[in-house]
This record gives sequence, structure tokens and C-alpha cells, in this order.
Amino acid sequence: MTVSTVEDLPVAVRRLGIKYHIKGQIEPFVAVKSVSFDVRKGELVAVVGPSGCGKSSLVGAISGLVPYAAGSIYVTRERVKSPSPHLGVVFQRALLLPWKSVLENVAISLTIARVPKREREERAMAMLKMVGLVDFASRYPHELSGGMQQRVNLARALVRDPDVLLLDEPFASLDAQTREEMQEELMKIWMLAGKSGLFITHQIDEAVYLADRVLVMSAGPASILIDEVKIPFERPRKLHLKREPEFQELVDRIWEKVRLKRDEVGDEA
Amino acid sequence: MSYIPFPSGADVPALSFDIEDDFYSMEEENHTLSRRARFGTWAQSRVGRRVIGTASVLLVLAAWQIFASLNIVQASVSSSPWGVITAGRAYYTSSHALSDLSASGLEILYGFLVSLVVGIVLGVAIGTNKLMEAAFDPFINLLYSMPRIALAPLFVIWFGIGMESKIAVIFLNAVFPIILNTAAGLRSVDQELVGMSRLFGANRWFVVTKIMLPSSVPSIVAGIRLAIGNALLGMVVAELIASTRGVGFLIESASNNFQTDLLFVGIFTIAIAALILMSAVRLIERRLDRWRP
Repeated sequence: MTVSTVEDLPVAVRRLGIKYHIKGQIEPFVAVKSVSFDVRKGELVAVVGPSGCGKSSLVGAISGLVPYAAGSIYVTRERVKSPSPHLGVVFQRALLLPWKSVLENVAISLTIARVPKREREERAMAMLKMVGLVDFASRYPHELSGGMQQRVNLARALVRDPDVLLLDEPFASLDAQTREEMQEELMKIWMLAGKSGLFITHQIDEAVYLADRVLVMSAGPASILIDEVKIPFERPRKLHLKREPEFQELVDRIWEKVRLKRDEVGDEA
Repeated sequence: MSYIPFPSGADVPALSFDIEDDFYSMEEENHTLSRRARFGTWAQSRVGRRVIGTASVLLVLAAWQIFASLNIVQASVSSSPWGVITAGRAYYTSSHALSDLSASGLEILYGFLVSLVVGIVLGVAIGTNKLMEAAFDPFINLLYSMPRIALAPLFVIWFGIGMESKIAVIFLNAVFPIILNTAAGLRSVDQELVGMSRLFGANRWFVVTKIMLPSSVPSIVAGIRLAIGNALLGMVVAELIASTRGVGFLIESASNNFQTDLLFVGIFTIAIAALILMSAVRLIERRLDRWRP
């Protein structure tokens, strides 16, 4: 695994360990044992792994909401101790404020930062344009479909113009058809926005379709990274790429790794 | 006589306004609904419910009036709708009305406003802070489970028979539902929404005022509803114990003088005040929750 210095890397994770204290147990639960990886400029890195492999812990730690026990995390060269302003997060659930309009929801980070009303509405509107929801700016979240809510979720993450985008299983709750549409949409937006990103998912084909590199986490507890797969396909990638044999081959290769039991992996981290 | 399934909508055994009971008419097209079914739909409509409600109230008042005119019990004891109206007209044109209403109204206003502010502030503190919760828990448990109205005589000693003792009683009665409902509302806020706002840089003040409190509106409003009832109860009881004016005082003195008609004037005044306050709360709630479908 390539591990360079933190200089100029959008995300650098070094020997990260995450532990939880569980009520009534003396020994802490080790969610993530020792994980190191980078996200380079302009790159979209996907992290896949079986359920319970500590993906959520990883998201919590990188976003600065969950304290980590060992190692370090850098987002744009700053050590993460609390939520980083350079990070935009797209959540698994849309997490929109139901009493605020779509526009106000997109602009929430600007409202928090006390950006003047006009500027924040302009910037939020530009984001809504990018995700194709300009006509829905004054609607309330409950008036939107699940797919549209996830677009708002994405627009909200981008409005602060963060260097790094952290996508935490953003399409997991969508139906298969909407999910594919959203993957294609994200592919386009990704080319437009020019960010660096970390995409957490349990859908291997989604990871292969969207990412430049796919990192495979072992089953939990005490997860480690067990493989790194480079995805060679040119961008922009069309959805029918998923039907190509080379694509399927990569998906199968990663699938084999994901299926390994924890004790079959060893401790070579 | 045995009940056989009724052949037409005309002579049905059970009196029901529910359209779904009337399965014979359900088979027909909408525009040929039986008269009974059409009445059923009307009775469920907004206007229909109003009309039926008003009619049933008028019916009860008429029954009361007839009972009073039969002279089974003395008219001064039973009172009657007409007697109450006459006494009400006399009372509301006298100088007592303004004095009583302003006294009670101000007591409720002050007592309720203090309860609202203190209730929400304490509710937020208890709902978001474990230390506060632990510190206030014994007092709240004790005071909430006991009949707090028993403290009213104590407040008369402490604060006198003026407005202050009434405000104290109203406050002690009304503040608890607001504290407890606010705290419960804040505790059940979606923690992921809080996490989301913190990720986008929110500080504690933003989280509480812009995420937690708006999320808790239904719960806080439920507390305010309970508080209004409690506040009115506190006001009346405090005035019954010791006072020189107010609607409770009106009831008390009417009772001492066997003026049953006037006593009912006091009771209806409070009932109407309660209705007005409740609809005011509903208006505020609708304004706060206007985003709801």
C-alpha cells in the first residue's frame, strides 16, 4: 500500500485504531485495528467491506465526531480532532431539516458560518442547479422523493466548497433503479466539481464504477485493510460499463476478498 | 321481532352515521347514494360536524331549561340557561366584571409567561445536560407527583392575598408540564441530525436553538396545552382560598350568597377563557408547523 507523507494529500490516514467502550465490559471493543491509506488530489477512493467491518467507525473518525484511539487522520494537512471545515459529508440518510426549505437545507453550513443571506442563497442555488433541483428550491424535504433528497444531501455537502468529499453509503437506501441513476449523476458531478473524495459503500459494483481505487476492509472486529484494487477505466464512465466482462472480473476479484473471514486474513497490516 | 338483514336503506335498525356500515348503498354509484348514506357523508364533513355539535349543545341547554321550569328543585339551586344569561348580562355591565377579569387575566398572563420561559429554559437544561438532570430530578419528581395545589395556602402566607400569591400558585402548577415535555422532546431529537449540523460547524447554541428546539415543537406544545389547564386550575383555587377580586373570587362569593346563576357565570367565563387559550395555542402550533403536509 502506498503511504507517503501527509504533504498536500487531501486525506491521509495513518495506523488508525478505533475502540469503543461497551457497557458492562472491561475490555474495549476494537472496531478498527490499524488502517493506513491516502486519498490523492482529484481521486475518488472507495472503501468496501462486509457489514460490521468498521466502515461507520471510519466515517465517524474521519468526520471528527468519533474520537480515535490510535494513529492519526489528516484532512488537507490538518490533524482531525473535530469536524474539519475542509470536509463535506454526504450521509447515508438525507438528514434534512423537515421544517426548512430545500434551499435553506442546502445552505445550512453557510448559515452556520454566518454567510450573508444573499450570498448563501446564490451559492445554494448554484448547487441545486448542479444536482438538477432548481425547481424544488422552495419545497419542503417531505415533498421530495428519496433520490431527490439524496441530491439535496449532496448539494449541501458541496455548498461550502470543501476540498474533500466523504460519501457514507449515500445510495444505500435507494431502490436499484434510482441508485444507478444517482451513480451516473455523481459521475457527472464528480467531473464538474473536481474534488477529492472517499466513498464508503458495501456495494462492490458501485465502488468499481465510481472509484479510482477500491480499498477492501476485512470483516470485523479489529478490521484492517486487506487489499487495494486500481480501477483502470477512463472517465466519464457510462452505466453500460457495468455489463463489460472486465468490469465483472474486477467486481468478482474484490468480492472474493470481501468474503474472507477475519481469521483467514491474518495480521499483515 | 327478529332482525333480518334490512332490505333497503329506509328502515335500518341501528342509528349510525358511518357510511361504511351502510353496505347496501356502498354497492351503488356515488351519485345514487341512499339518503342515509348521504347524511353520513355530510355528518363527517366540517360543516356537518359543526351543525350537529351545535344542535347537541342546544339540546342539552333546552333540557336544562325545561328541568328548571318544572320546579322539581328550587330555581335558585338548579339555575337555568336563561337565569345564567340574565345574571351574566347584569354582571358584565357592572364594574365588577372589569375588575375581576383584569385581575384574573393578569394573574394568568404573568404566571403563564414566567412558566413558559422558566419551563423551556429548565427543560432545555435538563434535556441536554446529565448533570442538570441529576440535580433537578429529586425536586421535579417530588413536586410533580404531589398535588401542588396544597402549597397554595403557604404562598398566601409568603406572598399575601394579592396578585403575587396567585402568580406563584399558577407558576408552580403550569411550569412542570412544560419542563417535562420540553426535556422529553429534546431527549428524543434525532442524534444524527445533531451530528449533521456539528459536521457543518454548528456550535452548541446553534444545535439547541436551530435543531433541537424546532424538532421538539410538538412535544413542547403538548406541554403548553397541559400547562394552560393547570394554570387555570391554579388561578381559581388560589382565588378561592384568599382574594378580593378575580373570577375565582366571583365564584366563591356567589356560592356564599346562594347565587347559583352568578356562580355559573363564573364557571362559563373560565370555560370560555380555556377555549380561547387552547385555540390560540392551536394557531401558534399551526404557524410553527406550517411545513407539515
